Amino acid sequence: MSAAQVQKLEALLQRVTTRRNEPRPARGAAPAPRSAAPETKPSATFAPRPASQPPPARSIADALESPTAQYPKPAATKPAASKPAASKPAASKPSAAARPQARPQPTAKTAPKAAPAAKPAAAKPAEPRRVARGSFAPPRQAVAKVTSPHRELTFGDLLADALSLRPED
Amino acid sequence: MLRLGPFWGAESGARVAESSQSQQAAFDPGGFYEFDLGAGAVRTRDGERVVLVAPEVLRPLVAAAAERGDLTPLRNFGNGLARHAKSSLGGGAGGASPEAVLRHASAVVALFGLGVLDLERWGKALVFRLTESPELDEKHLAVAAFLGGFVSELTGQDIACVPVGDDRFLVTHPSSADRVWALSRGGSSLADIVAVLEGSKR
Repeated sequence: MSAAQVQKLEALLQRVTTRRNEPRPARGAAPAPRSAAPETKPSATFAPRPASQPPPARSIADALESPTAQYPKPAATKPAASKPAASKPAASKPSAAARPQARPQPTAKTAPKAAPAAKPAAAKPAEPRRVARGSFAPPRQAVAKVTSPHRELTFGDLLADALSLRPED
Repeated sequence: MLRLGPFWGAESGARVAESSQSQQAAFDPGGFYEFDLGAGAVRTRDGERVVLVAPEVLRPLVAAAAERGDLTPLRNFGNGLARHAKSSLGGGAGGASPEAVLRHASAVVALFGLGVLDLERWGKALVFRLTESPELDEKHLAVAAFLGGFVSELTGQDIACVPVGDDRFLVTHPSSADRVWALSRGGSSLADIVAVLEGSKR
């Protein structure tokens, strides 16, 4: 480690110690204004957040206070400030695989089949008949009624047809 | 072509009328002839006397009558047999089904040993067919006269039956008989004759 780096670290530790001695707002209170942040903070540590992104859950001081605390994600993994538009379209335009495919409109044939498959538990057992068939009246029997529009042929009909044939002179 | 057999129903499945029990019943040949050996006579059940002769005896007599041009006795003979059929049928043949008429008519013809009577329909034309009959004359005019008298008495109308082949006889109006006979003698087939009668062929 070079001497310059050691000096930077010492300056950083001193600022942190100074801040720890300052009264802290209650948990859940409004975070300190960003302008109050020390200007010595290296610009590469925190990338400027987009306005839409929520503030980080912990400040640098909190991160230093808790050894298990983690720093915010490195800037390289965060969307760059010059590429907010690239991440937006990706979020608004999911890939074709992730995009929910438009469901085909059920046709008249497929609709009855799809319905019981989607809700098998909805099918209720058929209710038993209240009154047995034929309890009060004899069951109706289908009677085949055959009607013929034509009159049955008689020998007289055949003879009349035969006698109607006259050769033309 | 609609063909009706003598002792069975319609082969074409055509609807036919069955107006009475007697028409539906088969012809009963039992007791049709009464043999009176003492009197030396054979009578039908209607009391009409008949003579049993061999075809060889009858053939020259019929041929002579045909050459002379008078077949009235044979026509009258047909009238007499038709009365037997009408009696068995229970009335006229006009309102009966073709099957019933043929069933009773063919039975009577068969009882007199004249052959097997069939009925055919060629378009609108009606054709009687008599097979297994004794040959009485070369031109079959004797059978034509007999059938003409038979059908006339059966239906109550003047009917002519014209030979149109070896065993087929076309039922036609008497005014058309000469024309049909000329066509038949000229070699026209039955189908051609029927076509001429229906006006589709000259």
